[in-house]
Amino acid sequence: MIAALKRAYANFRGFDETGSTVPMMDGPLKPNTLLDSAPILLALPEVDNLLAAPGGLFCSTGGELLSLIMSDAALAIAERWSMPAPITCLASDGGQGIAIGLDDRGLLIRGGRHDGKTIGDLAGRPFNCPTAALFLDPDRLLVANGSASCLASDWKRDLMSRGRSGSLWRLDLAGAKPVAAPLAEGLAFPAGLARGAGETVLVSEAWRHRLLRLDGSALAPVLADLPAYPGRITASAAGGYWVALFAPRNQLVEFVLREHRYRQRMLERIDPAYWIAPSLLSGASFLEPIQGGARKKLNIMKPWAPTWSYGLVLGCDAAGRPSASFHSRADGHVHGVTSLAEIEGRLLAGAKGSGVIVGLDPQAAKARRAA
Amino acid sequence: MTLLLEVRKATKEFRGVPAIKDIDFTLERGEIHAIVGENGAGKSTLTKVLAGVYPLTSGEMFFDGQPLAPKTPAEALQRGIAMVFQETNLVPAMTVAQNIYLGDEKLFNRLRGLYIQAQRFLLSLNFYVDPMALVSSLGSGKKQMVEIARAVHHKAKLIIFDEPTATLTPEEKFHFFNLVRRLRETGVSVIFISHALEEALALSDRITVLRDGELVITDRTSNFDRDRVIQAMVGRSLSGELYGKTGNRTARPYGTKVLSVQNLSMGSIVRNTSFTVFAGQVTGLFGLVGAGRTETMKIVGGVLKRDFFHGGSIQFRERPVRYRTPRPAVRDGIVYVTEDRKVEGFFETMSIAENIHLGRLATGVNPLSVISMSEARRLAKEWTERLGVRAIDPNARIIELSGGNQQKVVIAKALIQKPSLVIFDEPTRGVDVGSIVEIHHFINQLADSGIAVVIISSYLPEILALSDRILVTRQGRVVEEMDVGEATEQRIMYAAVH
Repeated sequence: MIAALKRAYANFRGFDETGSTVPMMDGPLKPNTLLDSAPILLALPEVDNLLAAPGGLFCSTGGELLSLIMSDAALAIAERWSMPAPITCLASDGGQGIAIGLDDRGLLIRGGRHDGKTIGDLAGRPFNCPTAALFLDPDRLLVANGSASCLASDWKRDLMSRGRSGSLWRLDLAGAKPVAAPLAEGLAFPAGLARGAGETVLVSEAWRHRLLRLDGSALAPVLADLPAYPGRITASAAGGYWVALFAPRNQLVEFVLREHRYRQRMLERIDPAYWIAPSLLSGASFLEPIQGGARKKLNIMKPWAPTWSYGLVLGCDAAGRPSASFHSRADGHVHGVTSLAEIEGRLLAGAKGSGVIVGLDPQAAKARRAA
Repeated sequence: MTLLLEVRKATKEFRGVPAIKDIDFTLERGEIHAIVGENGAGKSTLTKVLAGVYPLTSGEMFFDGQPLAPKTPAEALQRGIAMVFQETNLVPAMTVAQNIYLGDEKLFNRLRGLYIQAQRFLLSLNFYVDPMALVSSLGSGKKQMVEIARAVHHKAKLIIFDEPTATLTPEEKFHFFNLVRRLRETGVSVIFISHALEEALALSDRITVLRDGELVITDRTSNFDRDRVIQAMVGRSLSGELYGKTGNRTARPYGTKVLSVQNLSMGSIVRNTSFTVFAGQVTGLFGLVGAGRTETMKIVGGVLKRDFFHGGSIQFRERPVRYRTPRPAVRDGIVYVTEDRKVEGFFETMSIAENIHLGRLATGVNPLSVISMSEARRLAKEWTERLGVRAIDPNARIIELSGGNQQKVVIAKALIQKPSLVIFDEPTRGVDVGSIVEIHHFINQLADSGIAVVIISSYLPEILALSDRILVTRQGRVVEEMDVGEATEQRIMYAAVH
């Protein structure tokens, strides 16, 4: 009865009573096929964590850290290092040091002045889900722990259990033992960090589909109501940012997120691969739940079909306002973009879902608008 | 051809100021004669003198060889002169059929017979209007059709059309032009006032250009081209300024999201439409009549209400809103500049200053406060100067202004509310080319200052010249979005039709 009254009131006042509305992609988010038409520089299953550092270009695949060499038309693997757990994030200290996030293990520093240091807990709490790291200076590191209860590889569970246990920490590496100080808690899967104007830091909060600005320990929204889940953020050489949105929101998932008992049963009984949940890649198995509407006609997927996975890179100006975007739609083949790196005037997008790295022209999306 | 009408040294003054001065004008039988000129050039005054709305101050007129000095429109109609006014003069509470046969009723009228007769008559003109519909329920285009039908029904020898095509769709215009040509073949003369110069050039036999109340030139249409007409109208060439910036133009960058409409529905008119409007940009909304453009934006502005259940949601500056009247929308910073200025745009018996000041009052005034007339006059002066409203007197009634100046007052009344989202519905409908340039310039200034601007227009060159982003509506929803760089007339029209 109360729920019905609430729904009626919400309808009367014009609120979305089911909470299932997803903002449409228009304006700077107008769909295109720029990700699909971009050249594939390297095919690498599970590619993730692209990082342009002074020591070269790095990426990861599973528990391997890779060094890449870039030529005009392609990328090649130069070196491989094995890690004890799947790599979840990378950050450069601006020199030879790299922070490597390991799923369920915490953080490991390789190279530079803090070589060999490990951070396995955050002030006594488990550092189980390192999703992003950012060096403020060579001795101070900002890290995001995406969830207190789930691993980074189990992000889908955190989303579908409406996880709000993410946190941001500042690590002081100068001493013999790194010291962690909390900056923010109760975040819904913070998944990306980038340096903003002045002393501020831009943070992506995936499950609340928004970007935040961290100033000291105060968080303020910069860009809200995105139509997909934002992940890694990379500063653009031309000013502004690139944001990788790794999976699309959709009305059915938003609806399921409101249906507590149904969701609980789904989490308990169904294989996560077949949940009604976003994914980095879909369409691989006929067991996947399909959504309403014909997704295919004459065996060709409609680009506008509802989909569990999508490819989306968003360009923002320095104020965090969207200005351009690169898409791979339902019928595309560059889905699940999780990491970005700008190098030599080119934007590299690593699609973990499709297992490819593509090279984008940062001006391409903006050039479409000029007459 | 023989002369049907001759006007010699016609002068009409208002409060000592001549609206037309020493006009010599002739009209032949079976001729289509276009009169063009800027707002305030005297076109409407000249034709209203012919139609018996105003008497001449000096000069003389001859119609069908006899002196003409009609004191009322009814007297002019008896002589065979009918005028279809720019702003329709129908009785809203009566049906279409009753309006057509108004003044021509028999002692005993059988409604069913009247409707059948009206239906046949409207179909003979290719006008698909329900004769039983109340005029108040019709859109502008259909009202115009009823006006034209009424004039044709009275079997006039001379029909004066004042901006007849401003509200018609391309298909309706095609039928209208055929109708005018058929009238010419039957010997009826037509005076045709239009701001759409292409129409004047395509339809007329002769063109007369008026400027500042004086006749500049009358010549055969074959001797004119668009640029020559404009040059005669304004004294300079505007071809570079008017709709000339379509190519080679860079869209303004996207600002913050001001308006987000999700799954908005209202009956069968607006059907599950979604779109976003950004600050610092002009968003053009194009669609054929009936595509739900106006209704969609009226819902946003609180003029109309969306469906109670499953009506969708509107977020204005990231806050869900549902306006039941325009007043809270105005307070929040949304203004809707209407397409039907005479009915919804101003109070015609009030002065310019009072009308503009009403815009300020709409933002919310303490009911116990005293309204300062000196402030009203100051605001009116400021805005009339800013928008270049040309009036004989600042205290003149708004009804005495030309269409373009009335539109500027309506715009001033809206902008005085300091909005953050301005919705212009057909901003240059019935406005002369000189004023169009000024209004376009002003719309661009608004967007440059960071305000979100939406323009609804049926005229593709206008949409292309002004918009940074174009949304095309069809059957009640936005079906296509284009950036100015990729939009062409063909692409937009294709999206609007298919």
